Amino acid sequence: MLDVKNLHTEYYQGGRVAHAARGVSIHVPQGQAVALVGESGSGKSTVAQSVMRMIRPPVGNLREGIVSVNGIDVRLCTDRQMRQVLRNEIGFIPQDPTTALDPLYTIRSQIKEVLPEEDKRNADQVITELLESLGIVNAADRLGDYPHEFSGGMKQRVAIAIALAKRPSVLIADEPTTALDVTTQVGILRLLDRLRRERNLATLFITHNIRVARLLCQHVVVMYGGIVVESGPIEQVMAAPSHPYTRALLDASVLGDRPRQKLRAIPGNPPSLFAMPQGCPFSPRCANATDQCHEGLPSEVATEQGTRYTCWNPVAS
Amino acid sequence: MLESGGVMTDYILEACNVVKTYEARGAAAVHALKDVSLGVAQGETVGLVGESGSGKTTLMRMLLAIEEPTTGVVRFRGTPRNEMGKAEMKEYFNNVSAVFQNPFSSLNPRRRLWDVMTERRAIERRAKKSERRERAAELTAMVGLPEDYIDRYPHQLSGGQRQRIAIARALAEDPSVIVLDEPMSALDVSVSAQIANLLLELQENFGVGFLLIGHDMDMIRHLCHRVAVLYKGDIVEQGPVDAVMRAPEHDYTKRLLAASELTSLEIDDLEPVESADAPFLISQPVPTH
Amino acid sequence: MSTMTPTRRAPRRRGLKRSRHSRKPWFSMAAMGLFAFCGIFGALIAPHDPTQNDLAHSLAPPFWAEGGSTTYLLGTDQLGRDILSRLLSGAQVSFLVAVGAVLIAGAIGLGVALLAGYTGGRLDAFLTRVADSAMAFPVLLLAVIVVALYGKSITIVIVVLVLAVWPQYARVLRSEVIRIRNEDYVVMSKVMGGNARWAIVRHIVPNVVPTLLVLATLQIGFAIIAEGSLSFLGIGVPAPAASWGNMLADGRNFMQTAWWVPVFPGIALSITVLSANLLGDWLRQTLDPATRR
Repeated sequence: MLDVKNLHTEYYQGGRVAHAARGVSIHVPQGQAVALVGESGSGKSTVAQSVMRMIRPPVGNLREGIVSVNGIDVRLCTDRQMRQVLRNEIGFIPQDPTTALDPLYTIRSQIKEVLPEEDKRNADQVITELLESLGIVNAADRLGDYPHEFSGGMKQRVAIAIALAKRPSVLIADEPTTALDVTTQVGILRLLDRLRRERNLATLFITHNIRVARLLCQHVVVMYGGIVVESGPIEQVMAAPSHPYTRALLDASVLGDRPRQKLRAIPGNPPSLFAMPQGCPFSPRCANATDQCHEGLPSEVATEQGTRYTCWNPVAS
Repeated sequence: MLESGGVMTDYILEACNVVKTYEARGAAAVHALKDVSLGVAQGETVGLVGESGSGKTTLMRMLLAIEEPTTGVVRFRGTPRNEMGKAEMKEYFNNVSAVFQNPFSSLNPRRRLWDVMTERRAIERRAKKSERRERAAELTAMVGLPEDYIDRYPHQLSGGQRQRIAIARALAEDPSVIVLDEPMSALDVSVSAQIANLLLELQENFGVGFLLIGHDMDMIRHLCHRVAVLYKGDIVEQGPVDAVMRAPEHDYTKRLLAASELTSLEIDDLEPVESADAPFLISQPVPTH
Repeated sequence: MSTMTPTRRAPRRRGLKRSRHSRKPWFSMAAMGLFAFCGIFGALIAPHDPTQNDLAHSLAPPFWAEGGSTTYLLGTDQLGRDILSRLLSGAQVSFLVAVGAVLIAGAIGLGVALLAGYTGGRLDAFLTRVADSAMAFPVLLLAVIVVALYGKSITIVIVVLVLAVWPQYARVLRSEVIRIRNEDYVVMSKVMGGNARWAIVRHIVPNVVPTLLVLATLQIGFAIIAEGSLSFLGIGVPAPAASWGNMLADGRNFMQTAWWVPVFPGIALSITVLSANLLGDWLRQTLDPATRR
């Protein structure tokens, strides 16, 4: 189980402080998949890195909040304890498997490295079974192969195997399909979905594509400018978004019915971490914004549909 | 359905029976393109889809005169490129331009934006600095950026803004065709919609033809008149975008469309995945990105 | 419209700003500044002729020690030559050798790197092999051979150092050239009709300059040490010209009796080399993030 409460993460650069995550809360129960949706600079990757405690001084700091992985607060861990958490509890799937796999080692040795002790004795068998369950045919013959001998989709499967070899309870996938071809993408998504069910994984799926998220996840957390603007069951959020940003994101990503007509684009650009607007980070681009929005953030509001949003002037739906 | 390559058509830019084979020392020759014909007409957007290794990048390099085909020709307004003289090549470079995928690597970090946008004029040495700056200001306005941006450096802009500058540079000499290599794929969703709108607007105003290379089938469907599907170095399907999307004929097109529908994951679990992948060009000849 | 309000700053300044963790090495900068100043104007400010013997005052201690005088601020050596003047004169030698070797080797290395990295193919393979072989040749042996053939002189020292150092530039810069050659803005310049010369002059060279600068700074330290070592071994700058290396060589016998003879050139050498290296490290950290992307 992954439980993030009121996380504040900051980065330091040239004497300036960037508040990359401001009061982020995410709950991922066992066997569920939660999508963390946002654009660049929204803080979505910061949250993932915070969970793995990869942000530390002097680069940045988890200033406040609770980041609990199966009841262990990673903020309070010693380095040694943190290594244990990363080794036993968290599986991570990178965006680009090409850079995540070490080109110098065979896939056998890269997977074996992370196997738990009890699996190491009959490592080849365990690895073969794992790879075949991930859709790599004739895995036994490919154990001695190097990463460059695999295609993009296959490399991502190897990366998934590395994430799963330690039998984690939490799986974090950071845009695992953006570097892949469309036809390969579906296979990987399907695989992640099956693994979550079969292995009862708590899956945090980080993506910029809310439509991809919908296929895989039960819940969604939408981030913008370091805050959670909206969260809840993904069907409800997509059917009736309350936050203008969620609305606009859905509008901008739904194409098709009116070819060659102007899309409803969101004007402007996402804010830079170091030049965050006052008040609601979306206010400079928001059609609903009032003076109130430029001054401060409201507290979170819960709706009857089970969604939550942070907005002064929610869209009527 | 396939257009014949050799005949004079309305195409401004056209690849006719282009074949590209890369010979590597001590390795089997790689057939990156096997007899590909594709054209773009005035004011038309043609989509080119295919996965990595399909030959998209190679075809783009042929059309942009970065490389020459092994056999076959690239025609501009009917004239084969290999028969062009110096003056005609100048015309070619003025009329055929490009926007690349990654706005972070497509702008020289050490040049101011006015200089970046009007580089073609600097190459030709035919404009004074003041004229180039003036043109740059027009171009920034054309792509929806404030004119005072011309004195900035690329790193001072966001990804979407940089892509606008890259588009402005492509427009600098009033081209008749722009090759767009996945121009939205490095951008955020909210920003890529802006760029799509900008492209539509530019086509409406200037009648420029686009060759849009991409893998986002929704975007292709939205922006293109025609689409060509490239698979393992061959164009396996080509036609009006509606027709191809509604009733795809080739297996690969069907798979591609099914994959990009993204309506449900509940298709039969674990199809034979090795065939779904494209391990065709294991090593791409010359990476452009 | 834009929520981001980028400020107007040149790329390099931004690079400097970024590296908050490496504070500006004021000491190294000052030391290198002093070194350059002495290297250029050393002869003008030297109180005595650095080669003038004055046996009556041989081995005079520095002015603050017992028996020292302000005539010879840092004392004299066994031949009564003023150590301060010799240090200043030695700085000129070191400066000339270091800057000369680094500039010439840098120019050769950059040229080879551009030729090899941009052209690729067989020429690249050939030039890379030449650089590798040159690098595998021991500097000392090279120096002994060249000196045996052509005799000792500052020019020879520079030639030896250039021969020893250029392959390092060539190798590092070649990979930079290859990286930049494949950047989209270089490809785009071809789409716009630019030729190889255009790509090199306009895009590639300006973008390898930071790397070249870092390398050159680090190589200055190496060149100074190398000149010192060669002179110490007697195959560098010929006597009676002062060089920190042959001052050290002369002075090592007086370590017990007249410490100032070897210690001052030793300090000068150490501080200069250390400063050059620190400055180089700082430049590397500072310029790197700005050149990426």
